[in-house]
Amino acid sequence: MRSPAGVAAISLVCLVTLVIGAYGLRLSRTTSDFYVAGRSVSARWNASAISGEYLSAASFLGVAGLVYSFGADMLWFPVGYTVGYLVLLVLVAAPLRRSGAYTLPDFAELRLQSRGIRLLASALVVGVGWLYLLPQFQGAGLALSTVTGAPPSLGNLVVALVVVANVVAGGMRSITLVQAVQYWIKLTAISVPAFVLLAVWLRAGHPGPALSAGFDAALAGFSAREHPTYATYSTLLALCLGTMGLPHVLVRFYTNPDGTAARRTTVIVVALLGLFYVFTPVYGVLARVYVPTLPAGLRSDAVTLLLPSAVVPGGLGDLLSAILAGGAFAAFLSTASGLTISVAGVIDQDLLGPRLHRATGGDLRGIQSFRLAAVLAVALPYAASLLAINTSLADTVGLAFAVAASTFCPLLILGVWWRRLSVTGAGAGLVTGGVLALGATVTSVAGLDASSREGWVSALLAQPAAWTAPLAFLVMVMVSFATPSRIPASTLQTLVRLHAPEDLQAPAQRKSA
Amino acid sequence: MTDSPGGLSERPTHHPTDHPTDPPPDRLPGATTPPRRVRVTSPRRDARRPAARRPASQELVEQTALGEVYLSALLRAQLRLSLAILLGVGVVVFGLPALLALVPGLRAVQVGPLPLPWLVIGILIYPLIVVAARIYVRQSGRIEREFADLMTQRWPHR
Repeated sequence: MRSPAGVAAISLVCLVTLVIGAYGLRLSRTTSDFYVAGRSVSARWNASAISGEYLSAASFLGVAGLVYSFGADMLWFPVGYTVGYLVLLVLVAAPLRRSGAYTLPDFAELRLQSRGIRLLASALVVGVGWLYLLPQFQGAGLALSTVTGAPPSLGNLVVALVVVANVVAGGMRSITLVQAVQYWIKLTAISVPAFVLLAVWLRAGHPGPALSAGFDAALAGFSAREHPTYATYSTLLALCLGTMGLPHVLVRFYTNPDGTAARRTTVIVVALLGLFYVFTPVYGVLARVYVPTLPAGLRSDAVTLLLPSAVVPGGLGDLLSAILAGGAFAAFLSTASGLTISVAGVIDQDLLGPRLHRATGGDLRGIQSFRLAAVLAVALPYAASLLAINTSLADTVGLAFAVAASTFCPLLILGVWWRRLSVTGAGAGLVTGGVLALGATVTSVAGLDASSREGWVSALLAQPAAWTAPLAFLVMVMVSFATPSRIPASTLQTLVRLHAPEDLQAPAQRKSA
Repeated sequence: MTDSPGGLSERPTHHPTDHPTDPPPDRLPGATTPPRRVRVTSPRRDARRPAARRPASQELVEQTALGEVYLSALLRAQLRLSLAILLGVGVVVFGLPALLALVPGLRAVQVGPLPLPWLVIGILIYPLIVVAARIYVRQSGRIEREFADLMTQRWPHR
């Protein structure tokens, strides 16, 4: 399929992103502006920005592809993405904002007063961020080749370049604005074609999907998805717990003025996400009706883009396809930008910055080292995205959630609520959860478990969160009990800062803005 | 006399007088040099207000044992609320797959054009999550306001 309208839409989205980024550059002056938009973003803008950043390739294309391939069970993916924000809201939103931490490593160090834990957290941020960036680049390649017939690797390159250009030029101030606009682009791009396609489908006498039994029934293991009940629960757990530990989520909370505002913002986010996710399964179901078999060489992740032309051949179909392709590109760009900022921030602050500073004798300015880190943050997942990958977009993203749920989730929840968390306990839990979840992830993404594809081993490796996350919690708690002497002396002070409303705290305790 | 750091002045056991002309009661007869006269004042005389109570938030900030009690109370109240919300949503979200697994008949029920699982999981669950989030924000805000009131009152008992 070759569609000039699609190329135009994709170019337009890339161009708008770059222009807003350049406009934002004039506004961002200091390093603080660069990272967190000078902390002056209203709740609604902030909520749009969080949602815009969060709705990734997995949401825009992946969910429809999974529903198309595996039926009703996959509806739990978007539910999990949304409930993840609810869990984040009720357990950590306000305390995280009150902690004053920019990034997850900042929080880890603040709470546990340990450089070691900080470095461990930094390594995990980079790992989770790279895992999450990978499907964004792949999705871009897929979208571009579906719409234009260009080789898939071109789309990967386009997104990687636009993201680096934008992050390097504008930083967070522009990113916040870009992200907020991106949400509304994405919502329009997913809802308008959905309404049109549904109307056409209804006028045609709403033909039922041509499908084998089990597509519309929950937990039926449609298309040989093994152990559907376990997979459903494990996926749900990963998404519910993993959201709070994603590298690009915490930094957004810093742009709220205080803890109460952070909560208000999160409620709006939950509503915006729910609104978006009502539309995504529509494409999976309608594709079952109109695209009963996938064209050779295309993955199910592409059904959203194929559907319009199948329903209304000709100009209208091309137009709707173009709108969807533009929206999908908005999704890749926004999520990849947010992740790149976070990963680059961590690489810059903890791994690269200090060394560069020493090596150049302080000649390099802070922002330059951040820019170098941004290039590094994109390079590795871009290279990996060119390799053959075994799992679908939403599944790869699901694995990133599983790693976050098994590492940062226990750290954040216990760190915020439990005063007996010790440094040793936190470290042991992070290592246990990280090694197990990352190990399972690498095994299933690289397809190393192919020999045991049939059985439980494969199911456990493909959806590891159900066993890795509880294990990480358990290790963190047990080791903390065993090492009471390693509880940081500042624990009580930190907990006051996390939980007491800002106006009660002594000025000395509040981090000055 | 100077105020003690805590602001709670020690009250003298007998009421002293501050008329300088009165002979001090402990003056020994026949002593050549009288002991230096000391001006003694009652804390009540020039008391502009009852001895200043520290606001409870000070206990919190200064990490006293009392502050720890306050913090525990706040943590408990917030955690109880969070767990209640999570339990409510968790019963629905994690209970639905179990319900569908245990009662397979439900999977085939049609509501208008949609099968029941699609209607519930695909659409109805989202407003529910938003409502839960709103309830949480309202209640947690209330807990914090009550806590702030408690902390800023001079007399903590109501």
